[in-house]
Amino acid sequence: MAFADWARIERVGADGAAEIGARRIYILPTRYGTIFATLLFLMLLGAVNYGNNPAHLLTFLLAGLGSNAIYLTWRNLRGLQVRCDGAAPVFAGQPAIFHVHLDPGERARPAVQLAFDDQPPDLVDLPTDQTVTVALSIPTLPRGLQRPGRLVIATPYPLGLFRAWCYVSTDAQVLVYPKPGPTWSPPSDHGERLDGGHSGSGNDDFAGLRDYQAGDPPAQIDWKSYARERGLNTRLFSGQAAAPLWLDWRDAPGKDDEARLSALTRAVLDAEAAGRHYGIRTPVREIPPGSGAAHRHRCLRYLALYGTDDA
Amino acid sequence: MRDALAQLPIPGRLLAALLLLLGALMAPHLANLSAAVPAFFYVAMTWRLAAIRRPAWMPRRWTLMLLMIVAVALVVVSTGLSDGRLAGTALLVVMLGLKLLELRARRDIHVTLFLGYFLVLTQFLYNQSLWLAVYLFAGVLALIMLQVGLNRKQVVFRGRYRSPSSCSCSSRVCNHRCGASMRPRRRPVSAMR
Repeated sequence: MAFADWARIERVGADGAAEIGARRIYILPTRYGTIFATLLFLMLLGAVNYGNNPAHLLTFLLAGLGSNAIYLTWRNLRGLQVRCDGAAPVFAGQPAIFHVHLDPGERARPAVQLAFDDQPPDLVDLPTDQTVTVALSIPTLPRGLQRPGRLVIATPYPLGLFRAWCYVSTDAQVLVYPKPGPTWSPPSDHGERLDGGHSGSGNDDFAGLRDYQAGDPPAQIDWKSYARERGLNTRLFSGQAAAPLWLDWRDAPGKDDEARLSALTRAVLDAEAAGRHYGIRTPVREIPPGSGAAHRHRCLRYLALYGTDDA
Repeated sequence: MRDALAQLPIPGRLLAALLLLLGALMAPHLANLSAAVPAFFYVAMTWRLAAIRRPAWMPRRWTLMLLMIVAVALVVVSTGLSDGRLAGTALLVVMLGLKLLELRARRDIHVTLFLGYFLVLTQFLYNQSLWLAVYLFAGVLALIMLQVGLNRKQVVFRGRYRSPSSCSCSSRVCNHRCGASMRPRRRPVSAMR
């Protein structure tokens, strides 16, 4: 069983920030600390052997320095405020970037090293009274709502003889969309359009303008009328309302659920890029057609959480 | 978790300060040892000082082997191995010189600092006068300050904080310092807090 499994962990408070408490900090000698102790022993031997007073003084001075380093290293972490933001959604296989805000309070805290469990660490010198934000990336995560794992904050400052560290649990999350699969076109595309009675392609027949509503795709905003200072208007197309593009679970290519989710993810991205009106149909649920960034997020979120409890 | 400090490049100005400090701490040994032994150290120190600006001047493995043989021979010839204290001191001095020449990573600086403390101790075996003790303990204080500076990401020297012109370090460290000078001015933090 790993040490970190039963270690004391600093947890975040109600405001999402954690303050590193005095009793949550671990400290052990580093390799340099061990070498330093050996050196001190040799120096003591030399001093005793020759009965040399200045040599004794030097040895005791350095021994006092070494034991003070325990306190000073511990103090470099104690009271540090840590807050971790959730990361922006990413696709599986992309790195998720978490922003960690470190508030040192009224003491400068040099050489603070932080990382999520086994990731490569990042190192910062924290000046007095100045919140520093560090971006930590986690390379690849599977789809779904993921947590970054435990945050490990460590420091060797001031002497490098000891390393103090502590574990901070965060409630930060990242939504990982499925990895987009290869491009395909939904076979229902043509059928729906014929049902709607339109011969042209869905987006082309200009039908008129209506007032802009939040979430309308930028490509459909009528910028010319905006330039004439008539406010933001959205262009409507006749094909759009009549022929929504249904992305159906049964049509998606792929052998297993994950492959289908990937294919649907790709289809959502393509449909959004083409400015289409699209919805998703699965055996479980149906997402009514729509478009725009918010709708895209809604669809991708559904695909990301498909089959999990969070959905 | 890996040690992020150890991945950083060697801070050039800190290393230069350490080399000069070790040179100063070595000086009293000129009276104790035969001149060739401290001279070996001073040659190595000057060599390493020059190699801070020109990394290509660092000695290769075979050069180091050759120097090692020269160093051991120097110790044997100059002390005759009759006096254990004298031979031990001479060995420490030449080995410190060799350590400087193979100093390539940040962790080597730690070991060099520790050898510096030991060097001070060997001085006391020859001379316990008060003024020498004052001189050497001032040197120990400086060694401690360098050790603290080594354990920060950004090495800050008081007074030189905002002058990028006197830059003897690698470009990456310079960038850090120039980046720091763009931020709102804060009290320069000396290595010793």
